[in-house]
Amino acid sequence: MITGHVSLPIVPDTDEICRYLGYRGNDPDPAVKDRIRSVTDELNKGITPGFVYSCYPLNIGSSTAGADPVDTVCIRFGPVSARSAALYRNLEGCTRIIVFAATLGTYPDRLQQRISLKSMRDAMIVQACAAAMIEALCNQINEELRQQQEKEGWLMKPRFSPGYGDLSLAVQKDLIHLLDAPKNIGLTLTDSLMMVPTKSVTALIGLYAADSGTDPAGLKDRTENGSGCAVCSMNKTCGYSRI
Amino acid sequence: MKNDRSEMIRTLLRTKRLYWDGGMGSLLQEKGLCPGELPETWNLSHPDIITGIAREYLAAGSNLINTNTFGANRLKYPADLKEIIFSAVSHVKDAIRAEGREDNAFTVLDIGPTGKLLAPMGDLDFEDAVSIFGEIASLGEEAGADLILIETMSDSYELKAAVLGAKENSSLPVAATAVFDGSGKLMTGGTPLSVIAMLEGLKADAIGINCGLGPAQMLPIAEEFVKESSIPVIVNPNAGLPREENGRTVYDLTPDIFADMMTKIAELGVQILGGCCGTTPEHIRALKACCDGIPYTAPVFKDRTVITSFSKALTIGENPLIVGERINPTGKKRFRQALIDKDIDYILSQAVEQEDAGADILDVNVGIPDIDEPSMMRTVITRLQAICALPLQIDTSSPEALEAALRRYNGKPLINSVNAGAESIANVMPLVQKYGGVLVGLCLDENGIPETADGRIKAADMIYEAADRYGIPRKDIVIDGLTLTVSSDPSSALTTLETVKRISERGGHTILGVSNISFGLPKRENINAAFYIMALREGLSLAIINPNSEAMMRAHRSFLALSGQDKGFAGYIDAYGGESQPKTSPAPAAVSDTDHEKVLYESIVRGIPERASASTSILLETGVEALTVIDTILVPALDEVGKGYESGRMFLPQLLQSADAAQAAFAVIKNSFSSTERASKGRIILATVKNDIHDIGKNIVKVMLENYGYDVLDLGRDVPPEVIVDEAIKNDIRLVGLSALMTTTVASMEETIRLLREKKPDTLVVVGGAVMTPEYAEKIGADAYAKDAMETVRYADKVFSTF
Repeated sequence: MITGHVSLPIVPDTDEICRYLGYRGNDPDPAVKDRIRSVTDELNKGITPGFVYSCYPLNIGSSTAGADPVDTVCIRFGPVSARSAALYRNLEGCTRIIVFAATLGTYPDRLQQRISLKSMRDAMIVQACAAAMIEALCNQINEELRQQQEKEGWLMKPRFSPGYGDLSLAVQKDLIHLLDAPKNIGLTLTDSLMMVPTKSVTALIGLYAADSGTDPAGLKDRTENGSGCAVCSMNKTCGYSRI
Repeated sequence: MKNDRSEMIRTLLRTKRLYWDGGMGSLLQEKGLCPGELPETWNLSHPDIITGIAREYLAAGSNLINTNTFGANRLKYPADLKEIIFSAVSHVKDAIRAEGREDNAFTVLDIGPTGKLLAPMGDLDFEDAVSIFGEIASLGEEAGADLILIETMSDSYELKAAVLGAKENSSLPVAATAVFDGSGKLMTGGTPLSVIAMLEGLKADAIGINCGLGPAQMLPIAEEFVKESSIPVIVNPNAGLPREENGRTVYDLTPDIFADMMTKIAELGVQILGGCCGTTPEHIRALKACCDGIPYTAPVFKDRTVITSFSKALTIGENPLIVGERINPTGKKRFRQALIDKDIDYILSQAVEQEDAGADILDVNVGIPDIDEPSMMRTVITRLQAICALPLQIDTSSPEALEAALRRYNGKPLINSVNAGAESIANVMPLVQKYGGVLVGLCLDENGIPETADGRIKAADMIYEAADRYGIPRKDIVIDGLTLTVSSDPSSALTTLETVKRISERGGHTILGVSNISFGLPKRENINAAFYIMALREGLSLAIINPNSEAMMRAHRSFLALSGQDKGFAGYIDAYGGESQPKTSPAPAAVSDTDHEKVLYESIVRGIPERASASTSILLETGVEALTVIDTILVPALDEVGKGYESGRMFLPQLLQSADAAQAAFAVIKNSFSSTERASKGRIILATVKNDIHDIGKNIVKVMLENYGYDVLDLGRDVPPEVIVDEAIKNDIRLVGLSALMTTTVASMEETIRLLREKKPDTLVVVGGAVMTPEYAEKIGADAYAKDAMETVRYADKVFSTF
């Protein structure tokens, strides 16, 4: 289990912030742009980011005879077993898996509550900036992991989170427990499986041997387009969808 | 017998260096514990291994042996908690007996965090946390543990719940250690000083640091603990920093290097040493060998007076501190109304305003007749702590409200107040003794306010003596010399000042409610500011004032600058350096009403709150009816923006910016015409459903509905179905708006709708939230789905126009 130090500032993607604010590709006015900058600075001063990950051997296989057809493909690592067609497609060809969690800490939640007393616009901007920052933090760590793994002869699949596609949110419990996330980075789950602090991410990252010749069927392209929307069950109604 | 051992430990902690044990998890993994497997189950499945590890630590020289119960709580072990704790305690006791160490080794009931975040940030209620920890403590004592260790706490609120739970449910000594990061902060922001102050207030028997860091990184934090703590200090570091090797976590410090680093910590004067993750019996053996020769230093009483919030510690008696007085209904109609309406957001906005204006501490008084003050106090304290990092002064004359606040307070508060009367002392001091806090003592008794300084000093002395009897250190008493209205007794100011002076000369701390002085006089700020400076000159430590008053803040900052308490005049220049010349109130230009109407209209459309409130004030002052302002300017302006948003020409931030500006204008109208209420278009309940804590969407809807003339009863987030239904019935609500973020909480939404249909079938329900779709809304029985705030407004208009 590795926990790490995050160097600040975290630089979020401004386009991503504007997308979260509902600009649909349009340019915000200068006042909003200024506020995005100042809120990002303020967040960087207050956040207590952390991340933790651990690597496990991965078993993908058929479960015992007589099981429900849905159960035919079982994804197993450590004490966890999950069933998800979307995750299965994501992990095809992988023999190892990184379980990963990151958080910005409670500060964004506090700041958003506080600012919403004065201005809902600014509260919305805090929420959008913080969402883009946790994403940026994950990308940053992802990149470090990718380089590290490549040196050891492993290639990484795009990260995949509980709640995407048909991967049940219930897996969240296993991941948080496996990473000892409450103790290591202060990331906890509510009884309804929400992460608190809210600006947090858990993810699974499949690893396959560089010399195995496996190609991550189309999924690599999808991340390079920056869109997890393709596998998301909400992609037809979501106002933020990129497809 | 048990009490003897507890006493024995309490004496040993203050007379002799003790050694804790080291890591448990890493040793169990070595012996085959799988990743994700619950270590506490091994108490039942592998008793020999657990007893064996305890014996190894005893043989290495540990005096304090933790039971294998770090994660043993009812959340993780709903069925067999008692069995696990009893077996874990018996394994350590067996080991102590087997090693023949009954005289100098003890069984420590180990308690770790719950793994949940406490409300309001998370969903574990504070009292539930107290009860979870209390159950563990009570089982541990029953099983025969000698001492309780609360460890690896990274949130001061959970730490407080654990100490309180342990103290209330057992008679065992309680030690507590927290996890700090490399910059010396708790994960939730606390500092060593804030943690020490809170734990001493709660009467912990020993306090310190564990986990997270190795001994080298812990050194500066350990140093601060020794410097500030009046009670024994514990340091239990990891064996350096972790790295992953072949799927196993390994730590980089060998026993010898670890022990060598620990000698530096022992030399600081730390009384209790041990290890945490990655340390082994070998580490403890080496540690003992290196540190046995270093002489023991007993803890020394520290004279510093500290109050804290969850993240901040303030020292009383250094620079004078400002206590913001605005969270108080006395003489404030708008505030009283907010209490009656349970408009907590208004109260919170008063906190933010004062913090921004420069307050150091906020007074919290919510006492009006006919409300449930303890419940209101609990709510306000809890909500304030989520948005404001300043320490609070709990200000109430109700012992029940005081206790409600003291329990929930995340830190060590200032408490206002006790007086020298026997009844007041008997009501207040036991609470301060139990929960900790710095207590304001008013220089009066049952017979009233003494007229002379001599009389007031005598009252102060009675308070100090009572504090001695209750074991409250004198440093934690602040004397209020009592400000009386100078216009009714010209000598009263001087009497007050003399009282402040005499207490200060004796090294005591003082506080005054400054504003009382000028009652009945014109230009009150003149008198207040002058009196404030005179009191500061006599050594006043704390002043209860209005930080929004520029005159008071000018006096405060000027005094600090002149008395050498503002290094490099940084505070003064920071506040006034930007002003090229003194601010004069801008002369209102001779403009016609129509201009201001235009200005207001445009301020709403373009979203400029300052201008919107200024032009609203001017319009009202020039005699324009509030309703005319609303109907002919605000509503049409909002509608223009709303339509722009709906047609896609304008975006959400612009819509919200206009909403902010309209809110500013409505606030002005509300303040000046709180009696002539705007006719409400209808009353709507809004709530984020049970188990859901995401409320930004709901808050946006609230602001929009209010701007469109609806009266919103905001029930907050994580609201149980029964509460929503009760309120709907009580207020005969026609429309309820529900928000849910995730599929897991849509179930609560469905349950709420079901219960509403059953108990109040004529109420309509509109739903929204990230996972909602029109189909989903229909499936769970909602009357309507709204994709955003504007759609909710339109739906409300439809509902109420046909009503």
